[in-house]
Amino acid sequence: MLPFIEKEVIQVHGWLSAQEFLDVLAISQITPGPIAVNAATFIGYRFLGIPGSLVATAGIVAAPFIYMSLMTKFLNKYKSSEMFTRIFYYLRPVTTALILSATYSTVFKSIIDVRSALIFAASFVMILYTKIHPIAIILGFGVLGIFLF
Amino acid sequence: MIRLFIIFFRVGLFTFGGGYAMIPIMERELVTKKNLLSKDDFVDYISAAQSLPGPIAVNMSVLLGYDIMGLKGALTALFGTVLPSLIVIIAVSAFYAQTRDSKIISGFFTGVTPVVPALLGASFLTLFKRIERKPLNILLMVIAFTGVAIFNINPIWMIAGGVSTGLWIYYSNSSQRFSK
Repeated sequence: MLPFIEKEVIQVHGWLSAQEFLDVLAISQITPGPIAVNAATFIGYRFLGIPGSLVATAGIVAAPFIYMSLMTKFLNKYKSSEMFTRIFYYLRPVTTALILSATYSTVFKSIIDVRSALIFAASFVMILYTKIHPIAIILGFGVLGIFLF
Repeated sequence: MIRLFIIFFRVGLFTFGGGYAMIPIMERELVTKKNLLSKDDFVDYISAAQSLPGPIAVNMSVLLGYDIMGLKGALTALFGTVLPSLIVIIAVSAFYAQTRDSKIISGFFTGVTPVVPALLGASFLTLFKRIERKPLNILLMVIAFTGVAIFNINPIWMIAGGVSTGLWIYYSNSSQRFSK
């Protein structure tokens, strides 16, 4: 999705320079929420203030909303059919592998020194083996980061 | 409905680093805590959410919202997921100059960044445990992982591969039945 936004915003409309787009990306990545939604909101705000960010956000979720509405209708109808049971059965390993590759690509980017490696290891163990809510873990390490870095 | 909104608002507010990182949070909120849907359905919705265009977190919240409360639920969940982005981004843009150089904010994010792969790794393991250890499943996993992680192939082709495998197995089974 981001390459599309990049092309539209920089090349087609000339709203942002390449450097500004990198800033947008950096901000979208460190702020909570889906990255593409953040980027759209941010770009919308830059150009038209709060109305702009509302319009951009509405725009970026409209198509997914329509797709998912259609998909829900479709799934409700056919999900229990044998064909779809098969399809979902074989999609599971693929989905799992896609998540593993997302893990693989972020792990090298985010573990840059001993401290980040320790945070990674500690949070991983906590998520898997304790009942601590993932949100508490995220917040906890964020606060720890304020003191550490 | 307010509860549903609050759940997805939390998901949106604490999802750092994009779509898949929210899986453990959603799972905890919807499957473990509230029992609103089964683990298998949850996994299937992840598959469904990533097979069409759109941010996975957005797709997931719409699908799950529909499942839990129909159209109202879908809109509520979508709104809940997106609202934190809106608020935070508007705040960040308004105070761009200050936030950009803030030690507190950069420290917070430096602390959170390594948690993201941990969340992803954990969702991988939860899903992995639920997959039957059959050669074809393992093969699909190996192909999808090496294709995307090593050769940078667009994940949509891997999903297409999974769908085709399902169709192929389905049709070969049914033709066997017909020939009997």
